[in-house]
Amino acid sequence: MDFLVENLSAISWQQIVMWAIGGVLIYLAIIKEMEPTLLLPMGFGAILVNLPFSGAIHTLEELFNAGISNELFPLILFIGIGAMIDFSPLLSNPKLMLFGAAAQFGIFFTLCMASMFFDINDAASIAIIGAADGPTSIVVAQALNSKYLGAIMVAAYSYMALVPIIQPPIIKLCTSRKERLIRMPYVQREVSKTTKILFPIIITVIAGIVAPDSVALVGFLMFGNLIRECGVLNSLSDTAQNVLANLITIFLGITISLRMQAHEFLAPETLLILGLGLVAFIFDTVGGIFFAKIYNIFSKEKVNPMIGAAGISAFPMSGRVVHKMGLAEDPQNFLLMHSIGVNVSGQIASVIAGGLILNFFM
Amino acid sequence: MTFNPMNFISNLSYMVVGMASIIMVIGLIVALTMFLNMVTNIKNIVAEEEAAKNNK
Repeated sequence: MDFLVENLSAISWQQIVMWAIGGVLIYLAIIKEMEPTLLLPMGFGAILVNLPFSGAIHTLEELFNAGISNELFPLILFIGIGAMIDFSPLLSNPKLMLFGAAAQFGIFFTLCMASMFFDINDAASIAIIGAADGPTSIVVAQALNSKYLGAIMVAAYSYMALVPIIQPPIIKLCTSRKERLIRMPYVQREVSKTTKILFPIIITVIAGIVAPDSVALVGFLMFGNLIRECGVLNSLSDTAQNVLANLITIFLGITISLRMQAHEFLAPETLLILGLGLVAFIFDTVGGIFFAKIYNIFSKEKVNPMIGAAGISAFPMSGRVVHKMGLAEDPQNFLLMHSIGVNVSGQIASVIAGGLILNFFM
Repeated sequence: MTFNPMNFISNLSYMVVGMASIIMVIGLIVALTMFLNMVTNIKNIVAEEEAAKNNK
């Protein structure tokens, strides 16, 4: 009985708080279906590592060293994500990529904000929450040796799941009804197979020249896409999209939870990081919208400024949010193909932004 | 953790350089993609015209 008493008496209130946080993440994953693939393993892991004398910590440390410290898990996951993405809407209208670039504004704005409270490497790691892309956040935070990886991951995945709640009020605040009513006719342009195959190669070469240290980020994403588009590796493409991505996702979430131990996670900095993550998402949205407004000043073909908001790479939620908002204003205003194109461009731009951040601070 | 508001100003250069870099890189990708679309579409048009001639 002594060991039982010893174990029970070792439970601290901080650990109980972490169990509650783990429970909330599991609740959000199962009941609200918010990013369940990541939030559920993270929630369960938060409980697992906060049990008194938890023997799981050693195992998770081994997994962490094997897959997160060396950035292996997120990079392999990128192969799967690349294989899932269809760049056709973007390739048929390449100008949409500029909106994805503009919607990375939140990252750099948050970098300045976070630098008021944290050292520059931690500030950069926190800012990359605005990439709205879990693997990029992990790679950057890990490469910059941030102490706050757990909080950054919770913020990144929670806000990605909350995009349908966060974005609409900001979009409404930044646009007039007249702007939201702008219709964008969609012209179906055929994209050749050659273009689809050369596109990932070209992006990799450009990213490699601009930010060679971080070319793995873009390179693995584009490698996955090349497998998809080449047309001769269908079984590999299927494996990358399903088995590989699922396998890595299982380990990724639970391994990240190692950084959710009470003594690390329960700090005022965590709340601040959650706040700064929200700032990043808000200013990403604002950046995309205002770029679209500026674009309209110089362009004959007006775009609906709402599509700029889809430039954050939370794919496909952000594209769908914009489409639904367009339909809510005018049932005949179909923005889906444009917003999904911008959303996909956000995926590329966020990875390039991650590479630039690494280039600045590594 | 310390609060140093002046860091916001001193790090604004990262915001300017970062946004300028990303717009430039994406701009280059846009230009190359447009070029690629143009070249491959010309090939398609030529191929279609040749197919039409052969059919005649």
